[in-house]
Amino acid sequence: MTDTSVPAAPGPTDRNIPRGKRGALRWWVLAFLFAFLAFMLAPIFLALNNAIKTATDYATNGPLALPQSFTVEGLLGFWSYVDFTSKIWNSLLLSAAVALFGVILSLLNAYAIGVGRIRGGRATLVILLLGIMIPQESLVYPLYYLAKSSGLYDSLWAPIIIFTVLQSAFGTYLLSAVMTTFPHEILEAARVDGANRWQILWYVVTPILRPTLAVLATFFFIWTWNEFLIPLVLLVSNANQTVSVAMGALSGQYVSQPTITAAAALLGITPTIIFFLIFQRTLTKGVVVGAVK
Amino acid sequence: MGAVSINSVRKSFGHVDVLHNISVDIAEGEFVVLVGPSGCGKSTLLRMIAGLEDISAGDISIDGRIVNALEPKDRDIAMVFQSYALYPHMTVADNMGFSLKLAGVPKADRRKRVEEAAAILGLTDYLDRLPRQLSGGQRQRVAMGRAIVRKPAVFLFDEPLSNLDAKLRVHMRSEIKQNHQRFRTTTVYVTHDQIEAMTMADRIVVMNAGRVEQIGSPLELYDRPANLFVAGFIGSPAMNMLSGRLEADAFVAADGTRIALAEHRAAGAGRAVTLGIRAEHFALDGEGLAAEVLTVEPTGSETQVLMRLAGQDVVASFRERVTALPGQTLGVRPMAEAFHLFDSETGVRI
Ligand SMILES: Nc1ncnc2c1ncn2[C@@H]1O[C@H](COP(=O)(O)OP(=O)(O)O)[C@@H](O)[C@H]1O
Ligand SMILES: [Mg+2]
Repeated sequence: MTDTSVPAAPGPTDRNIPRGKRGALRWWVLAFLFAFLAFMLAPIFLALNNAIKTATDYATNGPLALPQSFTVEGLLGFWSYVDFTSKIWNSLLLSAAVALFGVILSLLNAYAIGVGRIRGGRATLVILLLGIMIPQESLVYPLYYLAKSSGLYDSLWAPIIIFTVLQSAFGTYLLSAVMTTFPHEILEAARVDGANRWQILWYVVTPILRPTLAVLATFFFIWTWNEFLIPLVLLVSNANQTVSVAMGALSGQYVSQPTITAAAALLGITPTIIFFLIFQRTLTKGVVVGAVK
Repeated sequence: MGAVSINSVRKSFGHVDVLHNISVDIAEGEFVVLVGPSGCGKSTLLRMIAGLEDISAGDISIDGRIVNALEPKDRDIAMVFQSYALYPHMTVADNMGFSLKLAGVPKADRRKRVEEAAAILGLTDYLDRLPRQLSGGQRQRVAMGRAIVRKPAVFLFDEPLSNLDAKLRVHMRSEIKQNHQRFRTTTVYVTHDQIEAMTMADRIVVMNAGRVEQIGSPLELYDRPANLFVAGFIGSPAMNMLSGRLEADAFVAADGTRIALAEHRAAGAGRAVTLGIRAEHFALDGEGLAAEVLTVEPTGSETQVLMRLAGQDVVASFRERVTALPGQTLGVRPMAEAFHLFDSETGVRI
């Protein structure tokens, strides 16, 4: 076990580069990062810029000009027109359920494959990987019929089950790799201490892998939130649709009203940004995936 | 409580036979060390006692009960791993109390037993720390504490000191020994370090390539090694080995040098033998054999001399202070009563 609490000694390279040169390099890097940031933020800025304009303002000054007017009518109008509250609720429910079930399923699969070394574990992984690589477009048709015949059509359960399975294919793959490198002496110590398989999973493996599981759950959540095609096909009634479906399906009607399109885009992006702000600590921490020492 | 009996045990991984017919009887309260070069199967044997590895043939019993089919937790053993294998997310107290928690021991009781063990091991102030906040020696103690709180019938150690620096290793060696004297729990201890084996064991099992070479007390192994392997493995500096031929009352080295034996050996005369002489079994004697001095290493209490004797390199240690310089000739007399003779072909002591 390495002691991670020891602070790293200051590197010698910092001091060897002459001060002036180092300063110049830093400015260049900073300038580059700002340019990159501006590039990334441009769409969000455009959405925000136009969402709060009146239609006349937009028509006279164009999409790039700063707003001369201020109105939240576009936002409110879109919100109430598509019943955005219920869309957000549906998306939240779907994404949270997939994140939870997906992580549980991945954990159980990977425990059997990576720690339990079950026979055929490798073959299973290969089959699961197919699930990741097959384009969703080719799955839509069979899934549609499956949902119809099982009575889950137009129910949130259909996408919950489908995304749980699809995403846990990736989760299983990732966690299996992590678990094969799990220090086997710790598992053996737990066996000697009297833990059975479930207790080893619950008391030893899960808490040690918690940062990795948190990252996985976050990814599942965001991926599911952004899913469009399958929810679009399976969730027909307005009351069951998710945010992305609402955005995509309705934007066509508003081509003539760009400020409302902008409002829709802004509302669509905002939750993702909020999630990022909530999850960023987990995400940046969990990049050291599988660091069990 | 805690007698362990290993009967004709074999182990193979697939087609590879790793242990061949091992039999060892360990008495209650005994401290037995399994020693041998890396890869000889010590850990495998220990893990079979622990129940972490299946037994391919033969059986192992603890307290007269065959445990072949029992899970580790049902064998009444505790094990200390080379990497310590502490649970990184649990505090020292939780690490030590984990087995009790699983066994359903009430919390207050658990706390008491953990605190007792911690007091013995000097860990009282560290109970709320995480393993990564501890030094190597402290982690080692936690690993032992985890074993001690369970009051098992048998302790199993797999090279527990090999991750520590030399000084701490010597210290922990005596601490483990003291704990054994206190609890008198049967202990099976694996190491590749013969000095660790010599200093700690009541009895040593010397293993090589999946076989037991010899079982005996440290001094028995030192004084009467059963074969060339044990002779070469036990003792530091290693025993000097001269190859040559046996005559009725002398050993004749390859270069023709005659070394007189203490007793008459009519039986094996003429066969190829190896003469083993420990470094301390040479005396300075002007009338003895002429040896060319190669290096001289005084340590204060004794002097180690690497010299060329009968055409072969030999290490001798003398209580006297040797003033000879490299290149000079020294008269030495090997002490015939301390000779070890081995058949060169079979390696067996004669
Ligand atoms: N799980 C395993 N599969 C295949 N071979 C193994 C396995 N474990 C150990 N071995 C082999 O068994 C032999 C003995 O190993 P081990 O008991 O660890 O030796 P030691 O502890 O004495 O160094 C080695 O040759 C090792 O490669
Ligand atoms: Mg070993």
